[in-house]
Amino acid sequence: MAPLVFVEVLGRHDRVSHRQAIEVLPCSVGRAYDNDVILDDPFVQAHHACIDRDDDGALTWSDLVSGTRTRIDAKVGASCAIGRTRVRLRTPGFVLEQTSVEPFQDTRFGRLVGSRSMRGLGMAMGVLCVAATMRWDSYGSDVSDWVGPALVMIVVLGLWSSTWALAGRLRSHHGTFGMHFALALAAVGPYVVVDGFVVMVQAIRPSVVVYETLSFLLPTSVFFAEVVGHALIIGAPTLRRAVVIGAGASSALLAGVLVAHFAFEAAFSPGLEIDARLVPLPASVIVAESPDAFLAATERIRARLDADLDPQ
Amino acid sequence: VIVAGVLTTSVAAQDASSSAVGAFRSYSSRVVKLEVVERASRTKHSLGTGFFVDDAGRLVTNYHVVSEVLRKPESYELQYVLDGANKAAKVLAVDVIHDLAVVATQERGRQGFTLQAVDPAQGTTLYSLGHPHDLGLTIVEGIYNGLLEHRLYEQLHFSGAINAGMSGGPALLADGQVVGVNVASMGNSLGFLVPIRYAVALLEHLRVDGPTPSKTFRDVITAQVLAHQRETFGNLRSGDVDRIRLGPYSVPGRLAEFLRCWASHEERDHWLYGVQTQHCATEYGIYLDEDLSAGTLSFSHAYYRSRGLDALRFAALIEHELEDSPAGPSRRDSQTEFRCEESNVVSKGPKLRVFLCLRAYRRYRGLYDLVVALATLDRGKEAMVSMMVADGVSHETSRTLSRSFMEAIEWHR
Repeated sequence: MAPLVFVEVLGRHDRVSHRQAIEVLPCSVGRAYDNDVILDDPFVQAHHACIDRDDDGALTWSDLVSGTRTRIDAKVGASCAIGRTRVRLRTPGFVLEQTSVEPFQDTRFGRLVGSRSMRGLGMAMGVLCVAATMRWDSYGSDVSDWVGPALVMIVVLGLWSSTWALAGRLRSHHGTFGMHFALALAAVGPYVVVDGFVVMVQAIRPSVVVYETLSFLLPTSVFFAEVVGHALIIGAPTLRRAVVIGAGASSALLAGVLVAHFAFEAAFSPGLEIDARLVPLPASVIVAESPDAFLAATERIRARLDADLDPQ
Repeated sequence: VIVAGVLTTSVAAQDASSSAVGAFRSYSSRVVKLEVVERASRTKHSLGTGFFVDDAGRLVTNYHVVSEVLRKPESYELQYVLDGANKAAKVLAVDVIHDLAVVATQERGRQGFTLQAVDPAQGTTLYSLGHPHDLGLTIVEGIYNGLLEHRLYEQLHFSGAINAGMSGGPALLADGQVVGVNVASMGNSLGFLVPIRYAVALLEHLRVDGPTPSKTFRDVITAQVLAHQRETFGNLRSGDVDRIRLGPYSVPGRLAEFLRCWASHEERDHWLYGVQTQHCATEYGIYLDEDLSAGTLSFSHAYYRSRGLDALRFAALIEHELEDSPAGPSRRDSQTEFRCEESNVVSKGPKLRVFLCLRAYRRYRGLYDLVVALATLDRGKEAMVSMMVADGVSHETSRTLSRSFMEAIEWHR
């Protein structure tokens, strides 16, 4: 006998978790095992609904609990809620639309990274970052001086990727994940380019010194900022304030991008404040105070030490 | 000739030993062992030596021999050992700068040394008495070698074997005149004595002002350290001393007589930078207790020059060097943790990145450890990284030292 209708039980994101062909109508739906369609949902009644045809031959959904009866357009695939379960009815003539997008093969790094071009771009960025770290994070010309930073960089890249993947998985929200990744690339790409430019400028004008209170100089730090920042935001729902500290032309850009990025995060985390602190850079514009003004700091330190000595 | 030489030597040795025999026979009864005893177990914690200085039964010894009793009177007590019996003693006064203490005993009427300032010729034979490593009263013969130079406080150089336990014992001439008090040793017969005139001054101070009440010892010690500091650090004048050129920068050389300076220059082939350093430090501080000392000062200047690093990598290197703290970790019972401030500072010389940190002493209120670390910011591929550490200084002194240190660096364009 040919099926008259298909009952589809939907899971997350309206994916079909169970599909059953119905050959005889009326068909009963409920928690009890004498139904034609059995639902494993404690919020569903033993005999909850009945699928049938009306006098015009249209499919109907009768809710036995509320006593209502609804006509269903099975071609559109309308769904209805029953307990905590969503059920969709389809007629045998229905055909799923074809898509031109290739299914992604590598799910480990998410959908976006799964595409060949993005993987290539990601690897190129990784190689660039490792090379940059090898160049900036070591002070000697000896190869052994470079091995440590390079290994660290590779570990960081791994951590970074897996954190992103985890974040994407946790949220199960591909659009958000794609945006994150695009923002991360936006943070790193211009940063590397501008840093290269700063190096060139400094080679021409040696009196310019980039001085940083934290090592936000290196690409490594971008990844650390990403990883730590996201781990904090995802892992610490009580986090109220994220501070980005940096100095210099390159860091200004980096901090700017990070702030934008975290601001994006903040949109998903109500109550989170983003605070960026920048110190202006070239020696000629470094703001410096007199020794006397600075020595007033010893009074502040003394007050703090007094509090340490006599905690109230 | 050889035989004659041997004969001469053996006669001289006989003379010396007979003097040592005489000195020991005449003066050993005036020297006693001092023990710091743990109250609960009645077992000794540390020991030293003392000697009677009058017929009222008062002893002179080192401050460091009795310091634990003053620090933890509830846990330790001071005893002296005479004729095999332990008897209670009490600290009357201290001079923490010169490491001296006067102790009261119950031995009234006992003959003591008469103290007066003496100035023997260099080369004179001295006899030092004490209890090295608790091995019994020992006499050590040595040579007086005059006043030591480059010290924060005066000490005499005694070429004789002073060992642990002899601290506080007398070093005397053959006729019984006390020249100094045993205080320290660097091994290999390099011994140090406190000049006896400081013991004379402490006894006079005690006569005039009376004994120090036990509860005020900490305040007295702090006050002595602060007074000594005003005298020594108050006179540091960076302008008056010779200056040393390190690359385009110039820094003061030895700021004071009590500092010793050393230099090095490292430029290894595989390094992309060279570093030239100058380091000055006091050799000894003022002993406060087992954890703390005061008055030590050290500073270093390291001039870095890039030999292939670009400005960014060079900045990263300087930042890395500046993060290394030259001070040791805090002892929680005795000190707080460091508290720091940082800023960009400019004076007569180049712009500087300066970190200033202080930690306070818990028992000696008003004394701090100071760390100042700074780096020059004026050049892309050359920089000076300077560090200063001062232990046990007052808040005022820490400001004076920090200011002179920040103003010390000059540059030549």
